[in-house]
Amino acid sequence: MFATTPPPTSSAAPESAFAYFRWLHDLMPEPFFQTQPFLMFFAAVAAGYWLIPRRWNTARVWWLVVASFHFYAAWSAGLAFLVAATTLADFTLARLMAAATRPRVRKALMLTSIGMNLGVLCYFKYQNFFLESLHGLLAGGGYPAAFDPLDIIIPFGISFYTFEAISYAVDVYRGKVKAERSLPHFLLFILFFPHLVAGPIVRAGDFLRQTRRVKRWNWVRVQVGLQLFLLGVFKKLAIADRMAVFTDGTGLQPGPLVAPELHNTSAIWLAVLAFSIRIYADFSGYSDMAVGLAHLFGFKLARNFNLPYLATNVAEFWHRWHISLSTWLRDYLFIPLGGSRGGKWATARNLMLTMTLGGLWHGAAWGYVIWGVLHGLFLIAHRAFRDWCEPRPGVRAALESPLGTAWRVGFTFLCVSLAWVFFRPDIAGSWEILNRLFIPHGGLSLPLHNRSLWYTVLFLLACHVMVARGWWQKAWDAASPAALGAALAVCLTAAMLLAPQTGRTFIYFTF
Amino acid sequence: MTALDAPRVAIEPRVKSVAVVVAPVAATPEVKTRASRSRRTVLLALALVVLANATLGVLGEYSPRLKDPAYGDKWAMFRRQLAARPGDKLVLSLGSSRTLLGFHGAHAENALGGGVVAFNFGTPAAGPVTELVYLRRLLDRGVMPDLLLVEVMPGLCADGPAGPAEQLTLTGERLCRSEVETVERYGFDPAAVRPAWRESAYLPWSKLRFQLLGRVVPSWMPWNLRFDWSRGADAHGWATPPRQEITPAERAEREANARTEYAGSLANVSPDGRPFTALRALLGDCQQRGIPTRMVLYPEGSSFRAMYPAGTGERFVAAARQLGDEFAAPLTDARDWLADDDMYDGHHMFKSGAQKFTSRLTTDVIAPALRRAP
Repeated sequence: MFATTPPPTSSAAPESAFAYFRWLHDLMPEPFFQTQPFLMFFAAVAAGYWLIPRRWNTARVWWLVVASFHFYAAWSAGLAFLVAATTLADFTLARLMAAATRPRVRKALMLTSIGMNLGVLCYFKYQNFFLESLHGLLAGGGYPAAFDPLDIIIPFGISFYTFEAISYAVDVYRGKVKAERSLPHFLLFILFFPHLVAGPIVRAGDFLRQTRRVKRWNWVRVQVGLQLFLLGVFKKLAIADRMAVFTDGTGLQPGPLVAPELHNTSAIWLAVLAFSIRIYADFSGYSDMAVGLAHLFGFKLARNFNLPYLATNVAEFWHRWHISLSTWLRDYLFIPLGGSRGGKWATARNLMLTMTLGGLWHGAAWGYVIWGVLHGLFLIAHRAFRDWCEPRPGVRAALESPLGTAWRVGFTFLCVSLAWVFFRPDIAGSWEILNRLFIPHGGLSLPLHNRSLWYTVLFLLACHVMVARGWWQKAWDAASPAALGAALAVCLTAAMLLAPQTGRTFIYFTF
Repeated sequence: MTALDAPRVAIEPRVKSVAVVVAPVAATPEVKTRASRSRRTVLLALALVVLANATLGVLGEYSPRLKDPAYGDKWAMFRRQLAARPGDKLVLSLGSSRTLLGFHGAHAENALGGGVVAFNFGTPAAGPVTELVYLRRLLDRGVMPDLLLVEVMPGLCADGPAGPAEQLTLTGERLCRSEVETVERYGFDPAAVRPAWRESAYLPWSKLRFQLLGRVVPSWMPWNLRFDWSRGADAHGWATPPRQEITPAERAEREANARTEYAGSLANVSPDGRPFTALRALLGDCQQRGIPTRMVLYPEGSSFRAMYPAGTGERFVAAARQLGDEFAAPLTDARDWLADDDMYDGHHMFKSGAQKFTSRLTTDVIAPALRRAP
């Protein structure tokens, strides 16, 4: 609406051979929810959806499937066909799995589905990373060779829908869900545009049940959807993109996280703080928009965030941050590896493996791997500390006191924020940031006066306390429709007003 | 239980299969009340958003100060000056940052010995089109100068294939509807100006956000987005750099920046270009209303003068003189009035330069013109 300057994309879309898709691309070049073209697309899709009589539920589902395909094809038609093709293959493999009676055949079909999805993921996302790492190793061993990165465009959201497809294959194999018989319903499960490019990662058991329900227009649901959407828009434009000015710069001056070597120590600390706020507001804002949009079609997606920066330890943080991913990793990686059933060392190994692979899932670069390793170490350390506290009631009482709780929240936030330093592909930059964080350096200050950063911190702190204490919900429930309507209007207006000059792509779109 | 969970049965009646449509559970009074409350909330929110945007859009259309604070701040200062000294003669200077830093109104008033209000209405990057827009705004508000000084800056009179350079700063959201047509007539790209104006009219809280925030919380934005360029000026609209001395290295760097900025456009200066047509329209307006007008080509340092391609400066001056003859608005070529040290980048003056330039301009141009004015 609001982002009049389109955010720069992380990867340019390939040009389509078909005039229709080129036209579509011109209409909606990027799949960003906060842009005018998307809102027009959404309005048209929603109007069509609700105008289809509800007795034609399958027609409604097809309508959403076609719309979702167009949503993706507007960015890249070729990759939209790829996603549709792998989804069809997953559907067929699951049907075959349901029809097969021999366990070995079922297992082979499941592994085929997983292999296909991981193969596509590795080809698009990790090929360059693996090749580059191999070349690095060879060069380190005295066999230098020239490396030209392959010109591969990573499909938006590939990590998200790959995980959805894998969980579906595993659940069908385990008998937790039945293989879907309706093609449009299954296509919608994977392609549904609100969650297609950056989650939340939906489970077949939750979503397919909803596709079969007949949706009726409901004002309560519309209000909830609109509230969530506007909240997401506010988080994205007024907070995340604004914080990006402190991390990435203004255009007149590069930011401390883009050019750390130019900035002084306090600027780097403030930029790390700004990045922690930015990534939370950016991703939870996107998730709120996605959940809100789904509500406007009568679908309920999983909650993805629950005040993660109020977590009192890193384990709790992962129960509150990107919940759909952390539960996925728990159910399809950590528990199959043995979970916490095999003693301390086995648990530590499983945690480390899970978090390292979780880090790699985020991005094909060593920085993300280090970020995952750090979180694995934090989780192991937390378990060890918890076990150490167990027989010491005095220590436990001190930690659980209000002061102790505040200290734990602060310490967890510090650990998480320092780990974010590695959440980037440029690992040399991460070391430079760490160096300047802990060894005083001179240099440039922040590219913008830090007053708005501190106001944002205070605002977020107040909001977190209000929500955690239940005051927010109480006030919301007690408010009159006039007050609520005014609050929503103010939220949208504030988002428009506070948006910076250039929109930024969603950080998680690149994963 | 959240508001959403409670009526779930009514929202999504569960069905066994796609083919079976179960009739919804009958809505209870409580569910109906909640739905009615939600409907009112949603509709009111949408109505308020539309109303807020419509209100600001209309206000912006009638108040250039809201859309164009660079103009608005100057206008506020100017009005104060006029109100404080009714009946005094008015010398008004229009132009770019050269004018803003170069025409020292208070100094001119002192030199003229009272009875004159000399006001500097210079704003950064204001070429002939901006001058024309601003002049018409002032005339619409009843301003009738006894002498109008119009800066002619060759760099801003260039007309390349992309149109006048000033369209990069006089963007669509700074204009009201009628002005959009004016600037398009003088080469502004309609594909850029129209959408920007439209957005400022229909979604002003988004499009005018820098203008609005620049009023309230300027520190939240980089300086180039604050629209507060006219705020640091004195009561006569004149501004001067915070530093009045500069090292040779700094001067060389700034002159190089000026070269980067203007060397290309000076090659495109043409008396037939659209900015020149805008200048012609401006002079025509003044002649029609009987406003005594003088064109001024501001001082330039040796490094800046060296940037002109061979013959360009002379052709420009000749064309401007011809235009001046046509509209009884003679050109004063002041390019060599100051030494290089009086400017920090070859064309923007320090305070000392502004005083020297204003003194001579007052003696050579303003005083004779005022004597001649009716």
